[in-house]
Amino acid sequence: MSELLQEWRHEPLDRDAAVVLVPIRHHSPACARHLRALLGAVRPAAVLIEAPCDAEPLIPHLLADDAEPPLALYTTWIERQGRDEPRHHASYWPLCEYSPEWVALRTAAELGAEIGFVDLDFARMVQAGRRGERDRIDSLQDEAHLQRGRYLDALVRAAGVRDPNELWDHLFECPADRDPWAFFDGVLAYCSASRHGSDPAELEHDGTLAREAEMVRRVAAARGRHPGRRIVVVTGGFHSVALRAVDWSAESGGPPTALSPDSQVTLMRYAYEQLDRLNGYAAGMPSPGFYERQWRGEAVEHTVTAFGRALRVLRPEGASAADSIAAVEQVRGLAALRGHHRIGRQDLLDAITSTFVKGSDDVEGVAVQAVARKLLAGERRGRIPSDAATPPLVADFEAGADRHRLSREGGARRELVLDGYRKAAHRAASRFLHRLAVLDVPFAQKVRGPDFARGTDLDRIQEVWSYAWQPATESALIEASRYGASLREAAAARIGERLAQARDGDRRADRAAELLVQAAVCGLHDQLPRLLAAVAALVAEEGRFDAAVAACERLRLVAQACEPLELHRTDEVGKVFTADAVLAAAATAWQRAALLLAEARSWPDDEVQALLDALADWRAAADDVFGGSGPFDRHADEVLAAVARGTEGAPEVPGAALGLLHGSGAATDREVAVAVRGRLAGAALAGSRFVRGLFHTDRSAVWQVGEVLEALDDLLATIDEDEFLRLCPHLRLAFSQLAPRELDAVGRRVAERAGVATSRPLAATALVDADTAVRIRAVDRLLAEELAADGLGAWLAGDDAPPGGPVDG
Amino acid sequence: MTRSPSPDVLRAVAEQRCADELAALRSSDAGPRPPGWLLSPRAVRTFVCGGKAGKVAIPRKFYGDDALVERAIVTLAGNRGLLLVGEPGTAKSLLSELLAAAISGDSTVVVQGSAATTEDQIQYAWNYALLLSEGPSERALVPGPFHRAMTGGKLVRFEEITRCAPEVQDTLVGVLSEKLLAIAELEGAAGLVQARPGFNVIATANLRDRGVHEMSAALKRRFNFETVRPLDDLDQEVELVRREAGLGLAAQGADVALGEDVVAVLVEAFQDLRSGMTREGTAVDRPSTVVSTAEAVSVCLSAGLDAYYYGDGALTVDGVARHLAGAVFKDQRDDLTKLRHYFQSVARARAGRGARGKLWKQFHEARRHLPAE
Repeated sequence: MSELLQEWRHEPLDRDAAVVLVPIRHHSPACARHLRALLGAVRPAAVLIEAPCDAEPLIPHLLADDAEPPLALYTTWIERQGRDEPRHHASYWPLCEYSPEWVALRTAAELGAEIGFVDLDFARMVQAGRRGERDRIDSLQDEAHLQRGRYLDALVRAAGVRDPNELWDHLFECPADRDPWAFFDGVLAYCSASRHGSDPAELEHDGTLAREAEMVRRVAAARGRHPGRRIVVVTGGFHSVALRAVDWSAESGGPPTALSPDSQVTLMRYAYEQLDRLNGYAAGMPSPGFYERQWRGEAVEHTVTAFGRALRVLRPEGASAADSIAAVEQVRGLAALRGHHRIGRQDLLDAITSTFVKGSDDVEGVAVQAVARKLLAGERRGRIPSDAATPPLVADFEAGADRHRLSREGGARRELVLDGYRKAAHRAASRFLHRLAVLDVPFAQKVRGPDFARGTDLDRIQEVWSYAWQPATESALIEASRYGASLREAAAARIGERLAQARDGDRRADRAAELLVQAAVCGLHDQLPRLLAAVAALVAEEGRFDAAVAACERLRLVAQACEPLELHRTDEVGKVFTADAVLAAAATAWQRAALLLAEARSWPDDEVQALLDALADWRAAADDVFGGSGPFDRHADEVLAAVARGTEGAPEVPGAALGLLHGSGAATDREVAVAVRGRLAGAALAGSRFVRGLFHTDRSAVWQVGEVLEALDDLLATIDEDEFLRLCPHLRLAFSQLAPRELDAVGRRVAERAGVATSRPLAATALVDADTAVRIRAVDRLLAEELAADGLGAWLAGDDAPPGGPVDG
Repeated sequence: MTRSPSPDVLRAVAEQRCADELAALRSSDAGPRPPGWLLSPRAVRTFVCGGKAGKVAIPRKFYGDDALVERAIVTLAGNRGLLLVGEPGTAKSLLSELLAAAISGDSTVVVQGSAATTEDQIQYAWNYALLLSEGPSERALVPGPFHRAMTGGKLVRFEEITRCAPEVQDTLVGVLSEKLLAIAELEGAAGLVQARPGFNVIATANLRDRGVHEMSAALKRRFNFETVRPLDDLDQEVELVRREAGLGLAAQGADVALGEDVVAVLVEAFQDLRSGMTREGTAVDRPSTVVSTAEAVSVCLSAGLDAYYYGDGALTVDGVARHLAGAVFKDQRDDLTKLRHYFQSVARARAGRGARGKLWKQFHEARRHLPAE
């Protein structure tokens, strides 16, 4: 470790500097307390905070009396330039009552100092290289830099702790308060080690250097505004290290970067559980509930009692007051052993594990630790001041819920029955709920009703929904805000995004068609023409037969659903989107499928069932929708004839094709007979599979075309046991498609052919064990003897002749 | 670590083995001591986890979770007993011995739990001859471990508490809550033994094994449970195995070189088998027997002795593989198959690759030493 220390030397903070750099860790109560003391001592003219500069207009809301943390700044930016589909970026900047930034804001207001935010706005951060996560919104206060590095690992080991969070607590949160300058010196040293070990190229790449340059510019500008007075700059410690290197007397600043358009920042209410999760990803301070209790000076007895009560809800017999007493003792003992003036988070968790877990950690301990973590995460929800604006999407949701008289109180689920065909208001409510579903906002679930996407239950008239407001509803709405300011806009954008994904991804036409249906049920009529065009484009390129058929089916459903979904009433663009237009698209899809069918040289074995179903659907589509016999029918038959002759790949498909031809009358019984016999004679296995395909689409062939059974019978008579075992699964699949009556008919036919009476069972299965069987046979023999003695032996002959002989007593 | 040579005993107890260290800790200990304790909690932690006592370096004796040791120490200073649970071979008894040696200076107040343990083996018994001739008296009383610990203000160790019958276990419930032992046969003050400060119980248990009973809820409430986990830090376990095997070999007078890389191959194999997943992410079938650090030490010891007496005095991978099957394959045929499979798949994949590729190659080739099925 000594060589690590030799690489850099730490200089203490200058207590008399005009620009006072205060390094903090976000959401650290110790930093907050010492910052307050320092601000009181320095009494600066301005307090500058590391926060997006375009959030400055929100400062008055943050200072309002009725603003209650936890709150967050929610920043969004829609990246349009140079892209076909806009990309949405979003991030959170949370605040708690014990956050140093919150304390800085409030104390600065008390001291009458100017308050400024000195970081780049969010859009510029992203442009400078900030990378977010693809599948979730992350934190602007990411501290991952501070959790890595050899120095930190060495420090963790030397201090005898388990991880960097415990180290932070041990060094900064648990010791008693001291002189703030000395405290922040320590924090700066801690952060310097990480900064020293990080790669400058990486910092350039991820935008850190650009952000720090902006901070320098804004600080210099503030200096210019307050000559001769002191300024305090509150930033994450990682940045303070860089800002230290600046010579403020030489720095003139230059104009701060202008704000970019399309960048938006709103104030929203936040929750501790969300913060806990967010900080988990961002390597920030965990367990907001715990640190809040510590900030408020709550005695550890209260926390332990609260824990005991929470555990008792889960396990009534598993947590007693004695355990709580022992836990308090244990916490104090651990804190004393570790030299902690204040109880540390890990001290509490350790004590709970020791005293409440009655078994091994990884079995009984799991539930206890889960309850502990949940309690320490906390449940507080903040409130934005009444004069601040609610995020537009949330406001739209609230207005919509009120309009449709849906309760926004949480609690038990309520049921809602919507009669969309008869009442316009219900139709509107249904669209409202479908839009929420498209945005993945947890609020309502459809329990019953017509499903236009899958084409099921279309005869149902009413939709039944079950709904309940939950906290996740609001946060999901906030997160969906990046899609738009109203539910309509956001749902449309989300569908658009999914369409782009489908286009960039597997380009399946049927998925695009599903999106069309979704848009239809959401009432997004102005999107429909665009979506229809996209589906048509994808259909034209679709390479998979089953996807083309599925797309055709969905489009047919949409055409059918035009009336119930009011799709023909689409305002000015209505002319482009009519049932006829959709049917035309369906016809195109059908023909594309026909083309694929005709061009296919062979059929893959692993998709046989899907292909068989698709083939049947495709032929049925020609019949149903395009109006009976006509050009489609003839076309279909031609294509199928070619397929039926095919010999490459899965034999089930030609069999199914032949079945369809037979069913529509395009193939005669004779042709079917010849084909079956030919195939079976050629290769028995392939032939069996062919028969399976045949039965799939045309069950009647089995008794209508006598040759089929004969051919099979002949085959089975000639093959040996091994061959039979090979064929058995396929033949079984073939015959399992018949209904029981049909199977009976087959059985009779086969028996006739073999000249065997059908009243006797064809096979005997032993149902009992050997002993019982012996006893049954013995009883049988006794019975036979008795009957014979009574002259009723004929009864056992088993035919229908009346018992012969006189009946004796 | 100082080792008081005692050629008369196979294994010296901790307070004898580490007498010098304990003396150094006592003299430099400035912290507050709970009543009846010979050392302060911090000094006890230093003894177990390593550190300095004034100028004397104290080596680490327990590898694993330092926080566990801290919690154990704090528990023992409080009202409840300490119950160490975990799989076999995770050094629960070692930790119990070290804590008793450091806190009470005496780790010999022990109850060895088994199905045959009775109440008089735990608390007190009678010298029946005296009892019959003189009647009940203090002279006729034969103090058991609990009696001795309570009157002496010491820690009593109860090994494998869950192997005792539940009725026998439950005789402790009263003792642990009241810290009082009532001897019905004696009158007056002699009939009531109150525990002196410094008394507490360290129990150990395997919770999941054959022949283990359930613990009643009433008794569970008198203990703080601490789970001792097997090591998963490769370097720590290698260091531990080398040290322990080295000490065992030295005690036999066998001078064997225990190469770090050879031991690392063995330890890594054991860790893979224990966790069911290799470092590369391949899933491995876990044998039903426990492959703990203790088994690794014993394999090294056997292989070391083999090398000393039959080989050239240096531990080889081949030698280790020869003694491996005995440690892993206890009575389940499947375990041997799993071990063989491990050789064939994982050892082969690692052969020739990475820092220890050559040794893994030898390990893979040594599979011929596995007993035939």
